[in-house]
Amino acid sequence: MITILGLALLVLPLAGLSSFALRMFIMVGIYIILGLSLNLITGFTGQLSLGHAAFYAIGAYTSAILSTRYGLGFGITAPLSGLAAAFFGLLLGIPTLKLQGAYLAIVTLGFGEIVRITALNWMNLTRGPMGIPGIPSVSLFGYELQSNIGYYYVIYGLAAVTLLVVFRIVNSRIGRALMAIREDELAAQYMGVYTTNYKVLAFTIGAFFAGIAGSFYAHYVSYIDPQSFTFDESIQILSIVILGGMGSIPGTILGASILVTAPEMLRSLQDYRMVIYGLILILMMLIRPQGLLGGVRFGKGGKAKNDASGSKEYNQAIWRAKSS
Amino acid sequence: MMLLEAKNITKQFGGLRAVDQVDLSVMKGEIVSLIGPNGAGKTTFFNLLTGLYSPTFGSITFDGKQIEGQSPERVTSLGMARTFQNIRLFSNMSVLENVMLGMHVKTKNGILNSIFRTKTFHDEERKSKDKAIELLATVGLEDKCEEYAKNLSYGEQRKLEIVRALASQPKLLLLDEPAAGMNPQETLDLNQYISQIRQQGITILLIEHDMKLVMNISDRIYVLDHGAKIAEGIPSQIRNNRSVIEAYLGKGA
Amino acid sequence: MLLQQMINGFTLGSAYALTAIGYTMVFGILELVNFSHGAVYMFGAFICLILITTFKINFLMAFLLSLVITGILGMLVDKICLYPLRMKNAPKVTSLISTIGVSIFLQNLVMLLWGSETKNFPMVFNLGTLNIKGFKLSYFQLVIMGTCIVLMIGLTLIIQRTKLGKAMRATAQNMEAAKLMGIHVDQVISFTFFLGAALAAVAGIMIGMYYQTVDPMMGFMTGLKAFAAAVLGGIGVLPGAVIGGLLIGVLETLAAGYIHAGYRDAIAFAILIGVLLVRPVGLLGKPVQKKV
Repeated sequence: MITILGLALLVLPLAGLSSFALRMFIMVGIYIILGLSLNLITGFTGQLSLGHAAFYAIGAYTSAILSTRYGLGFGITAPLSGLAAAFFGLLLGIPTLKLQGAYLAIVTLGFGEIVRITALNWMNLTRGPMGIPGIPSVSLFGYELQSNIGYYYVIYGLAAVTLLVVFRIVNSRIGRALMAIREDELAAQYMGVYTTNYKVLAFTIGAFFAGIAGSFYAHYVSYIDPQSFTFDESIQILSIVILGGMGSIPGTILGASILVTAPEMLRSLQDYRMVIYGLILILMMLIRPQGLLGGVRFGKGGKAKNDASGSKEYNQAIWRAKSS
Repeated sequence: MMLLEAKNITKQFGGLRAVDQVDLSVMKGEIVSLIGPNGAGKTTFFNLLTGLYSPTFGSITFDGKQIEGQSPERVTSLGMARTFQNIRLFSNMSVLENVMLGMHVKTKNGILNSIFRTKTFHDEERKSKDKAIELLATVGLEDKCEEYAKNLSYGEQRKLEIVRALASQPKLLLLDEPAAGMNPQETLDLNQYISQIRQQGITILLIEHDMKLVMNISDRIYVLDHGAKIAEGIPSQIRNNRSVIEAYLGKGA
Repeated sequence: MLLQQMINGFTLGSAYALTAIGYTMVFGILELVNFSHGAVYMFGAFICLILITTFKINFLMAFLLSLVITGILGMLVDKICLYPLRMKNAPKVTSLISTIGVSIFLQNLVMLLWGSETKNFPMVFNLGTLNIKGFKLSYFQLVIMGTCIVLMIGLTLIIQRTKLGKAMRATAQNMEAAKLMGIHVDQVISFTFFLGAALAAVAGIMIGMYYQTVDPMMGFMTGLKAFAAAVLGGIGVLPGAVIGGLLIGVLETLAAGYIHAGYRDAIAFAILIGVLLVRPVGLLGKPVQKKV
């Protein structure tokens, strides 16, 4: 299944896609990385983050500044952007990840706003609302990417690496500890899992990949300003994760494909577009609250069936547990 | 040899003294029960032993180390494992993964090992998996490895929780009402299973309301009422203890 | 200068406080962050404006009518978008996304109906300003703060003295037990949403009149900051929402005046984060004892 999908993605650009379609695919690729990185934090570890765009922004600005001022290329700016975002992830994570629920939500949201507002006001560094233009295009091994096809392969290469890393983390001792925190933090502590450390780890890794996505975005569009990294952006990424299904890797890919292309598909509806987008979000939640591919984790555990909540045995167990 | 020694343990919640100057000790290899009416402070006492709460006064020595006020993570890594009165499994994870989480403190694979899938990674994963399946086989759950924990029946969930605790190879196992909600046949099986665990050299501290099970299996029994210890001794002494009978049935019974 | 800033801060803070009440009441009962609340606040201001300008209704009638309409909107948000999710026992975060959907929907619906540009809110009554030794206090600022105080007292009376208030408190403590006691939990929740939305409408209308403008995006930042205020005070605790709202209003005004106007919103959040690091449950929140 994955092989087929991978091959299809590999030959797709050769089939003569319009440059609009290619651009769409590239944006989907960026959001797959953003979605997967947030899924690690929110879907697998259960920590609601409403400020993921901040890491995306930090990555984008790091690359924009390093490349326009110091002439560094994507090969260097991308990892540095990832590290810069990861550093902020760590910085935010250590003191705040002891907070729970609404408290963590507002802190991550506040952090996102602080980053955006700083980008808007720190003129010397970010040029504020004027943004940073003229970010050089991606060049790798001395070749400068001229066409969307080149960008296409780079972003799906990065997405594949992200997917592999997230997949391997999730299906390991580390991943089990992360999911245990999501399922029952106290019971996880009783397994000897130092929950705060693991939460910080998830946050840092998630921030790293969001930073890489930001770096690619900056080099790809060549101009960034604070408008691209608003609260709406964080919500867009979160919606991708939830629409696809929290803790589902294929779900995130599907979610990114739908939510990135939906507004374009709805473009003909013009002014009604965002009204309908809002409605779709509500309807999706009402119809499939677990997300489109919720419960399909993708991997060893994915075989497990997730259908017993209505079974007689389960209900009896619940009844007994409650009455005892 | 003394494995666990709690001295003068007191826990104050606001104006309420949930546990009041309790002394308790467990020798290596023993099965000790903690009984008492509902609300006597038994689970609070477990929470104090395992580091969820720190005692207002008193000291706890486990395997030669002072552990009062330590975190549950630390206490677990020192070799104490527990089950919960209301089952707390990782519902949306497979049965196998639940048991492998029990091995968290006994395994080492870190983030880089996991990402690069080194040989060490594969070796440890394979070993843990084999060990987990072996453990599951002792309670007949080996065929349900890939099932989500929430899909198991109530009795199976109880068993899985004990297996998960055993997976950490504890020196001391704390069981909080393991027979709750079980029928007489299941309780009988549990009785046997607990004896088996003891034969592997694991010491057990048990909270239980099923008196038949308690009297059958315990080497010694402690009785709590209103947070204070009102009796301790071997089963036959407890059975006939005046204040224990009063605590359960009221004065004049 | 300082006093002037304080007065302006308290005015703004009163609006945050009124809006924060809605967040904190809903959170107290459902443990849900209702992200549509900022849009509801904006909607309240718009409805009032439309009633005055398009339907030529006198201000007082328009004001009361818009409270009722906005209140009903709040109820509908719950009935249509949240109630079905509660019935399915869906994870909390899906409800949160659902309210975000509502927020996007409402904002864009208002743009579609009445345009996206900033609209003038007519000066309904010019009360003039009080000049005391160099600082200005408009009577309208007094009206805003006064209204806030009166509504707070009213709300406290409803919650502490009425049967419905008792039912609300019971539902917030333990929904299952409240149900077993014969409380119509769904009606209580509806009423909570009605009340929260109506209070947000009051805040929206007053801020609209204060700045004499409204726009479809006005609820966004106010919503976020009112949420921050509720958390700062200790979410789920009513007096906390008021204290949090006033604090954020005053501190951000001072920060804008003395530090840097551009960082105004960032400072509000920075203070919030700082407080939570020291007191993880907010100023008046009570720490939860873990239980097994």
